[in-house]
Amino acid sequence: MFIAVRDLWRSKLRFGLLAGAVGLLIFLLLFLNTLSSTLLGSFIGAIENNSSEVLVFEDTARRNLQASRLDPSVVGDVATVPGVAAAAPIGELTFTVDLAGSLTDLSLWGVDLEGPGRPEPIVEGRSPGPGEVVVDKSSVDEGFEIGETITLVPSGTELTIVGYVEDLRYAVVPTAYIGFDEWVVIFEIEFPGTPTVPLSLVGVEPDPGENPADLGDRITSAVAGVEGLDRAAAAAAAPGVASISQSFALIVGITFAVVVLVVGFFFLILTIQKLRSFTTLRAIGAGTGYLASSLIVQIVVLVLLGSMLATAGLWVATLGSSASFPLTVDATLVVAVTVAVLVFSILAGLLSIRRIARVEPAEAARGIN
Amino acid sequence: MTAMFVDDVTKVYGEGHTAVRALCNASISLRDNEFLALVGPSGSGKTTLLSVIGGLLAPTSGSVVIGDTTLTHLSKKEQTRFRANRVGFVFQGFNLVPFLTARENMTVMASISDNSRKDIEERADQLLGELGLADRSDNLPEQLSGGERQRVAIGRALVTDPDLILVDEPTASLDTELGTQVVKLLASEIKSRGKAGIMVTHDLRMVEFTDRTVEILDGELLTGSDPAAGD
Amino acid sequence: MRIAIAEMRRRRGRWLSIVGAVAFIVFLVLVLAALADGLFIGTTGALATGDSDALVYSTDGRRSLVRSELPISDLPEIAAVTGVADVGALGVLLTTATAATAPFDAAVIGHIPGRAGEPTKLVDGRRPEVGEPGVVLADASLEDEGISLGDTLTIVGTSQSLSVVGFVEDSRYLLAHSLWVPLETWEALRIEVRPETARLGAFVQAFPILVEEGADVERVAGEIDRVMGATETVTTDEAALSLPGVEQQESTFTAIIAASFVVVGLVIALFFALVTLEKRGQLAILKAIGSSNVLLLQGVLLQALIATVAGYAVGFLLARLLGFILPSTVPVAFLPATAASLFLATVAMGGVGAAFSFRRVIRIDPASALGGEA
Repeated sequence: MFIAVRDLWRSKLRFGLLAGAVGLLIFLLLFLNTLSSTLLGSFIGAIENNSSEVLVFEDTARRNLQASRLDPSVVGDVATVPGVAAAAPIGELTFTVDLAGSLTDLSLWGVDLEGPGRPEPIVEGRSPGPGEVVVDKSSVDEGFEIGETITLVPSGTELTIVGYVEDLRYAVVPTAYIGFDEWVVIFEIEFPGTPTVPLSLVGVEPDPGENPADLGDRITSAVAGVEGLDRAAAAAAAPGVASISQSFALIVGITFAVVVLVVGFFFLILTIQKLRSFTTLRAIGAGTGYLASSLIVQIVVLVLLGSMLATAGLWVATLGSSASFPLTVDATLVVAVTVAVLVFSILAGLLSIRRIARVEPAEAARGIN
Repeated sequence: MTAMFVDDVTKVYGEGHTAVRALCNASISLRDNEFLALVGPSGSGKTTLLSVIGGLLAPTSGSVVIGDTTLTHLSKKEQTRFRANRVGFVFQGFNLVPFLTARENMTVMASISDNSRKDIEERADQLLGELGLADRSDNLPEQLSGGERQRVAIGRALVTDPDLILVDEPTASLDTELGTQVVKLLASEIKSRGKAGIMVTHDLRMVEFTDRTVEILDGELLTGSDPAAGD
Repeated sequence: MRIAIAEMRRRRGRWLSIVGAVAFIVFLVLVLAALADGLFIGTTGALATGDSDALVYSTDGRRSLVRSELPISDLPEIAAVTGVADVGALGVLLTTATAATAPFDAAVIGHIPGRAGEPTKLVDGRRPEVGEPGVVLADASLEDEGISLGDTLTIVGTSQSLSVVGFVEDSRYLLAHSLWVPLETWEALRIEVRPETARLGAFVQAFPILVEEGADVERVAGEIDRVMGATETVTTDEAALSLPGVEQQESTFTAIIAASFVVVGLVIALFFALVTLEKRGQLAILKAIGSSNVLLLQGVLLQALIATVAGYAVGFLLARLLGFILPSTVPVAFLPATAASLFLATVAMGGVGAAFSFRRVIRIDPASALGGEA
């Protein structure tokens, strides 16, 4: 501690630069993580955070919500599968709507307002009644606020917004939830002459203690023409999500590796710069353990300092966030990232410790320059 | 009482026909409170001998005993601890740690040796005064003159109250007046504290401050290695 | 100058570490950018690499390919507008297809072969003929799935089977593999998969157009809308950005790449600042023996240049290597523009960092070199 702290204090610029570099890299790590969850959330929030733990798709749709069409009778079939506490229809369709004079897209979900698939929790306002909808809060940026009226084009059907839900956005567009029966009516107006209005999904609430994934499998085998999935699997399987998640996982992974390697390299260079001092200290009786622990102390201080700078930077970045692109400082993420970087940076510091261990104290006497 | 005893030490670097014999069957002993001058031209092996005595270098053959401890029998780790507590070394290049102040270069020994921080700090302050560094104690080495750095190095060697002081060319980069001052200081510290010391030097004018002189040439000790024989 | 290079050669280990660190940082950004660009092309390739200057949508379609509907009979009218050199047709159907393999997400794209909007990057086989039944031009990404020329594909839920006659590159749509078929085939498939659209008759979703040489695309677009009345014509680039989710993705990725560039640039600058700081002793000695500041600065910059160029080269190779071994589900695209701008940024920031420290370091008194190290 003695030499670690004094060394840091006497080379403030050097360590400051290093902390800055590490801070920037950790910021990048945090920023990437935050961005990727926000981006994915805007694609599949409605699925990932759906109030039904199990979602049943048409099997040929290959887990693609927009390709999935089910006959209404399937709801009854699913409800009879053991382990299903409740089953309800879910319909989704994207419409063009007029909001205060401008046209925009809206993903409208017809759900059983009291069954699985209901939009919850309602963070502001109330549950919708006839002619009313709740919207995902991120849509506020696009003008979808409580009290506003949405007009479907071209049918002219009017809907009033009465409440907000959170993290239930779908396909990046503003998302709204309405009672299923009304949704069916709207569908028929949009596509007159459709014999039976198909559902997109069946939402299932499992019995208490049931494993959603297992229940999904059971439903798949028990009912013809369907595939049941727990909502996390459904979200992961949404088209394009796999690519985006994998790409992001790769990006985050590589950034992490670079952070750690950079810390390791930087310290190696600093250690080599200080070899003369290390040699002297070994000569006057300091053990390798003592020098190694002082190095580790410096790495810890550096990573913690960098982490603080990164968090500050992230906080600044969130000032640029909006309802449609919410960026928040997730404390758990910051802690997890810091700990991970710390652990691996210390491991990377082993390179430097190896170098210190190879120091020959006798060199001090021979006056190496 | 023998403070230190070097028994038939040989140090060979390299192998076969590229082998260099830095020391050849060197034996020397030192009494308590004796201040020895080790004199010889450059390349004679004096720094090597000093390094072997201080436990910095392992001899190819032979042994070194300091006080009641056979240094050459200790493990590397034990030798390091021995150096920290029982030997004070003033290197030819002073080797101060550049990011520690004059005082800190001494008090760092508290983290390294077994002495308590309080003892070390007290002794450091005392030494700073005796060495005339009291008002330079918070300066970094780069802010000190050559002579001041020299004195800090001496202070560091003394602060752990070691039994044996080893000094390598203390006057090398100092003018005659300063050099004489420094050697006088060393002699008085060593004698007044009842320690034993070896000073390597090629400056014959300095030997008057020592009790005995030993000459070394090409790795072999010539005269004065036996205290009884005198000079 | 020569001293600078000699120093690098003598302290090889140290400079290799520096080159290594730069390489990793460069690798990071190149891969980030490649992944981001890969996702962008995977999403918009069908439009972006289609042979068109602009796309005509129906106004109420609001630039959404899926929402837009225009009767095919509009085609000759559009062709007649001044400045229009060629008009094609586009219709997209998102569905599932299978070969002898597992089913995969597919975007069946109806088009008129040989007209505007057709995919430009033919890499194997041939294009379908106008109106030729039972054939398909597949996106090259399907080759990674094990599909080859001559294989038969079936669109799930339909009776149609299509024979693969050629492959095109970078033509995916919303990350689904694209299957380009003649318009008639697309119409038939559409009616089978989406029966509710049968009532609309023969329609397309957009008319891609090419403008005459020298014509201003925006003006021609405006002219088309004026003549047709119920259309909205946008440039192909704008159309690509209007695809669902693309704008969101784009802003995310632009933010990522911008952040990475900034971070990496600063890290490299800091890095070289650190490395140069440490050279005080050396530089002091050189100054003491008479080297001028300018000469020393040149030496320091030269070292930074060599290290950044070498580091970039290694990072670039590693990134390309990674691109090769990645599975096809992770789309990557190494765009030359990105690589070039990163190169410039790396070299520039290395120089900036080194120069920054140099300024601090030259203020040392050369005489301190003679005092030796403390």
